[in-house]
Amino acid sequence: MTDNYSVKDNLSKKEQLIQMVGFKIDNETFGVDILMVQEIIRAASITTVPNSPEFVEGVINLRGSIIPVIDLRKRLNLQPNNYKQDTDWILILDISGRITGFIVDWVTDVIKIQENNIDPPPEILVAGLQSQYIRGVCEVEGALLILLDFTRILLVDEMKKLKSAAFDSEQNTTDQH
Amino acid sequence: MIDLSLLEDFVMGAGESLEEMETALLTLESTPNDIELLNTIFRAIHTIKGAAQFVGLEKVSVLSHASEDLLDLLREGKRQATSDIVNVLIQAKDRISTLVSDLERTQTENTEVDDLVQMLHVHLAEPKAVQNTTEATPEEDLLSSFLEDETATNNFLNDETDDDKTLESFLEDDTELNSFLLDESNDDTEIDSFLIEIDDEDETLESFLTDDTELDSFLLETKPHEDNASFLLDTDNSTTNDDSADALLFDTDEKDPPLSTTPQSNDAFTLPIEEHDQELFEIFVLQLREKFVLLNNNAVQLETSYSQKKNDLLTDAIETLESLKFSANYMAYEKLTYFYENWIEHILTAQKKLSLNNEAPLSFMRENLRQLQTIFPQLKADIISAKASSETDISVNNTVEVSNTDSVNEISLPFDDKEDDDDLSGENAFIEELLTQNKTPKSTPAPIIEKTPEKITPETTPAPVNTNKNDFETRNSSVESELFHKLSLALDASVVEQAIISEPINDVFSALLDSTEKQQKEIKNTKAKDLILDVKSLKEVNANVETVSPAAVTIASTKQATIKEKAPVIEKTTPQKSPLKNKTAAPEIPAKKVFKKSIRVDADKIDSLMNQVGELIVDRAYFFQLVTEISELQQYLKVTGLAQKDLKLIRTFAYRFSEAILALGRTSNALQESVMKVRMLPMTQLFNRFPRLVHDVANTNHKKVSLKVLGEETELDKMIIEEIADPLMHMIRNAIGHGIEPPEERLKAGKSETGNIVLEAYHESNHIVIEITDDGRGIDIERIKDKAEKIDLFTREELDRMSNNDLTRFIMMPGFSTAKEISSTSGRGVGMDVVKKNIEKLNGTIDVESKKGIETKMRLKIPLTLAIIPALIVKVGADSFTIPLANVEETLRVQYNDISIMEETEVMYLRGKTVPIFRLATLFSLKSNERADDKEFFVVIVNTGTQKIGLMVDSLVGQDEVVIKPLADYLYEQNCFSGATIIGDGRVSLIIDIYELIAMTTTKQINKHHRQEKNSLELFIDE
Repeated sequence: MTDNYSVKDNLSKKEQLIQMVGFKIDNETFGVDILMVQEIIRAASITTVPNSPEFVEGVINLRGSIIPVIDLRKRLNLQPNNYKQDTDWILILDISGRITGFIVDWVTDVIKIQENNIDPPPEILVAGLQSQYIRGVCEVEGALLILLDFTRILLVDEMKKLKSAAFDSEQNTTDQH
Repeated sequence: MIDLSLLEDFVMGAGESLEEMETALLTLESTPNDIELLNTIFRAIHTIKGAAQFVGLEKVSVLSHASEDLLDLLREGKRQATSDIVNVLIQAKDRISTLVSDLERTQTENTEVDDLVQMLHVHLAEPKAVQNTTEATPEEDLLSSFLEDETATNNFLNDETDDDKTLESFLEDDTELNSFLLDESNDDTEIDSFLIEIDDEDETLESFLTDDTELDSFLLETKPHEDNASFLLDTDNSTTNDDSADALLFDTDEKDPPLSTTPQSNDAFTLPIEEHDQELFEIFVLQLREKFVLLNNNAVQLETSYSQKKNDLLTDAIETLESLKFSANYMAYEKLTYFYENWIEHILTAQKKLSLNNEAPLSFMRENLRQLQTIFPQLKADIISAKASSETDISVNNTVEVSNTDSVNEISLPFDDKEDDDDLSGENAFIEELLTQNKTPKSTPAPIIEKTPEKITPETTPAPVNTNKNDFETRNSSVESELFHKLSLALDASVVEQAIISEPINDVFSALLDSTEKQQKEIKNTKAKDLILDVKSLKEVNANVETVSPAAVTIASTKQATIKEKAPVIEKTTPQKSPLKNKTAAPEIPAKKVFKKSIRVDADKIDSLMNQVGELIVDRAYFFQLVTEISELQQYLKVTGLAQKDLKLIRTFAYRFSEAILALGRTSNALQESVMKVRMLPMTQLFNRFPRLVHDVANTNHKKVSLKVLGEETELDKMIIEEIADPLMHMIRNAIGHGIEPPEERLKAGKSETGNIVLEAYHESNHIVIEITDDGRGIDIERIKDKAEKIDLFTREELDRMSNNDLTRFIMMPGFSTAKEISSTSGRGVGMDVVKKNIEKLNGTIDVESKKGIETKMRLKIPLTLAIIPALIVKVGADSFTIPLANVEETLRVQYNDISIMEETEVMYLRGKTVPIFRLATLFSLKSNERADDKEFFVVIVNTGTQKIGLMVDSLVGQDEVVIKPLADYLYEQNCFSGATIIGDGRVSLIIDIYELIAMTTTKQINKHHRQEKNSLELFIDE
């Protein structure tokens, strides 16, 4: 590993090839650094966790470890899906030690892009997505590839805030009836 | 120069010793005269000191040394263990603890110790001054009383009717002299003059002084009174003392290593000192041995390697020597230190030469090694074993063997070092110095005889004087005989005399050695007499002491009783020393310490083992699931009309399969239990902290409290022990601070002045129960009612209807009790909600029972382990949830009409009590399977120890052992799950945290109350 890195370092940073795992939500293509992807699974039985944030789909049993699964669509506040797929694709990512699953519509393939082709996130909303979750954008074969910043997506404080809001509203609704 | 590799061991070892010390110190306060206790403390601090010295921790050693000195005085009865002294010692212990934790974190000693060392010294010096003024006995008188005792001793010798008891009392007599000497030695000048006077006095006195044991203790005692105690640690070899007496003392001390290493002790009072030096010496020798082998290999390599390598090797050698020098210096072996220094200088010069590409003579390495070997013949063994691997020069061994012919000498090996060293240094200046140093030893002949009776008791074998002589003899046959001649010629006539009598003494000595190998009693009864006869014949040589004084015998007999008491102490400590005495002797296990065979294992490794066992449990559950599935399949096949023959095959298979699963289940259960046990530790470790806490808190609160600890051997998961330490501490602090009344109040209430706190631990099925009971003022229920009413928790009527137990539970409600309002009167409740939270985190429960004015009992019930718990699995809709069995009180099938609604909450009556019912489906916003027309429900009654509620579920799945797995942290927030587990079908089931769940429902209830009130208030305003 370290050798690979050192080789890479020798290359000009601009010319470095990075590999991304491409996946789709609706018609948008997103990318995540392949080094973060631990595995991609389908058809896991998800146990819902009551009173958890809306975007937390639940937890799954991944060979003895219990992994939370987040619905990326809900997390990114994208348009809700119109039709329900038979099985979800779950990207298992290692986000600085926190193994988390993300539900996406489908995983496409591995995309190789050059570092210098990545542009910073545009000011305006891309695909209805807040720019804070975007690491950059890149044009691949005429289509726009959105590189997501998963560390930001999994920012715990923010999630807690979201969650307590969810909890409060839930409580209010239960209180009301 | 801290040796980092040893630091870890030191930190661990010191921790244990400190704990032991603290326990003993606290007990000491109540029983200040317990010698055994003092010995325990002394041993602990001494172990720390020895280890600290070995590792190179200066501050720890200085501090422990000073404490040791103070303890020594206590042990010898010179000082009473007043609470002041005990407090200082406790402080010293704390400071060492701080230093140890410093070391653990930063590998350096950050905390200053000077203030405490000074304090210790103040305590060391103080009463002596008092003694001085009160006694004011002229020096002359003291000396004459010395004489008297001496003559008494002689008289005693003449006495034909000696048996072992009187021998012991004779020892006691010596101790008296000893203490007498100690009293006398108030300061350096006095010692000085004292010594000079002794020199001037007749030989008896002189010889008395040279009695090694006494002199040694005398010397050791005086050390702390010198300008600083740290001189011992002085690394730069300059143990220079402006005072001539000091110098003399040092030299003698140095000169007499035999006594410090005397394998067996003369009596209980001098024993500590010997033990002290003994242990140090052992460490010293051990280190020397290691380093010697290093140096030897180094020297061998030197001869073969090229110059660059040589340079490295020499640097290594210097390093080794530096550490040797340090330890030698610490042992106050000046000559040895000097010897090392010279050596290092040699190497440095050689290195310089090498760097200039000149050939440097390196033969001195060999030479020095040989010398060192002769100094410490016990190195021989190592060399021989090393020889197999490295081609060591045979002649080196020969040299050692020559100097090692005498078996007696071998036993006294460690004692030789000083003189050998002096000789070996081969410089006349040394001999000259030696001569002055030998001033004291030169008067040895007389004491040999006088002191020999001591040797008769099996505990008191080799008088160092003998060894000196043996050395002299050996020296004659050794390579250094020439030097010895110079030396012996220079010594005065008494030395010659010594040489003459040395022969018979030798016999006595070796006879004694034989006898020590046999039963101690046997020696006492039989050999002792023979030895005495020998001694008597020897005695005739000495014409000095002939006077008879029966007084001493009388004194001796009065002390007999005390001696008897102390005898076991001697016996206990003796075996610890024997390994050094004779290498060939079978290693004896110290009687005092009971060694458990144990290994230290990284806690992480055990955790990972535990995890794997957890996986196994999950797998087992999966297999059980398969068994059920197979039987279902069987059923299905039967229905589909499979042939009877084929069906039988499947049935047989299913049967065998389930058998196999059962076997697997048994094994995995046993494995789980064993792994669990690995993590179990006795509560002792935790409970030992509390006497100290009670002591401190009681002192600050001016209360008298005695703590009784029961069931400290109860075992508990180490992790849980750590977790409950704080809550327990808090509860005990509460018990003293608020529960126990001040002495006056207690007396008024007709109780004893001293409050009692009982801390008890015991097992109850899969739980450990810890009870803290105090006989204090109890909890004032009325106060609680007032408070509860004040914060609108309940109405007065409701409160009046509640049981006392329910009311006392309020003290644990968060926000209910605030220190200011409650503690001043009824006490309790300060931070109790935190305690409760911590206990609940462990799936434990806490219960309070209180009888006003009589007692308060806090009862903690905690599961034995955290990782795997028995649980009840329930189903709500499609999801299954796990409820820890610890919280489940019962499961009920409830008719719909049993449930009524009270204040918008469903409740049911259970044996005359109202229990609120919550629907899990509603709480978790889940879709329940139950239909509106269902007449029956499953209700799980859960109990947290303080509250009881019912949970309505769809169905009960069963009971199982589940492995708790953590959830992502953001899933814990404001949630009522303590984790998740994987159940038989591989799905995840969330474990309900009943405490959080109840808290959640309670908050909802309270919110509801508030909202209603607000609403009514608004209505009121509207109107």
